[in-house]
Amino acid sequence: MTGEVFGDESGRAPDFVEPVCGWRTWLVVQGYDGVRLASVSFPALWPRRQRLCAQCGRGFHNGSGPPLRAEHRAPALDCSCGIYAARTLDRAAQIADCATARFRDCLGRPVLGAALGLVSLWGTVVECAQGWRATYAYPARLHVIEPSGGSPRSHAASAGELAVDLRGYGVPVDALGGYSPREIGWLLEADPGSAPGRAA
Amino acid sequence: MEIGAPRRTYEIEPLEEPVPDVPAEEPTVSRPSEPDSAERAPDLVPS
Repeated sequence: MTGEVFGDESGRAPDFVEPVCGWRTWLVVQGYDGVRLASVSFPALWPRRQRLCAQCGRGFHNGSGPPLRAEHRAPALDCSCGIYAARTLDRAAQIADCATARFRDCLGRPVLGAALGLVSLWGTVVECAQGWRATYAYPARLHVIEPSGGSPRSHAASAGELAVDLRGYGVPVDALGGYSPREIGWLLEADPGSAPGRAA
Repeated sequence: MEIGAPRRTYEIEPLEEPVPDVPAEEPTVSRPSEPDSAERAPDLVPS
């Protein structure tokens, strides 16, 4: 985290003092030191009990065309960088639907399953039509999903086993085995305590 | 993950970061031999 500046670099007061809370899907992978969360769309492992910090080294808008800026602090309004979260569970569940079926390994490590859940976002936050991009993130609540799709894999674990292993993140974790991500969405959206958004 | 067009940017500086404290009985020092560079990779979302 060397060289990071927390908060607004201009030194002005922050706009809010409560994190944004949105929905995400993670892959659950076997790390060197136990079971870890990993991003679905980018090879990043989420550290336990440490915030994840976004950095943008691409300087490209949407990954194509000329670079807008050689480098910038993530997230930038005119880039696609940052740590993502969706405003609705349904959007995150769309990814969970295929995550465990599509990904067999991540960063050279076996994918054991997937998790849907809430994530706290803070730092610079770009609010988008259906979600947010932010500088910093940490899981707030995890719901582990049974591995799905294809033939059974030798390294597949039950949602209950993965939920126990993910307790190292220090946030509430439960197993929702036997339900599809869509069904889990219906269950969780019935829980008023799971509503995402900015709680300022 | 598609989250639509950006609308605005703001700064959030929590009074307390939403990251649980490390329990005293749960050291987090990684083994020096572990290739941990990938674990610090940024979370970028390609198009």
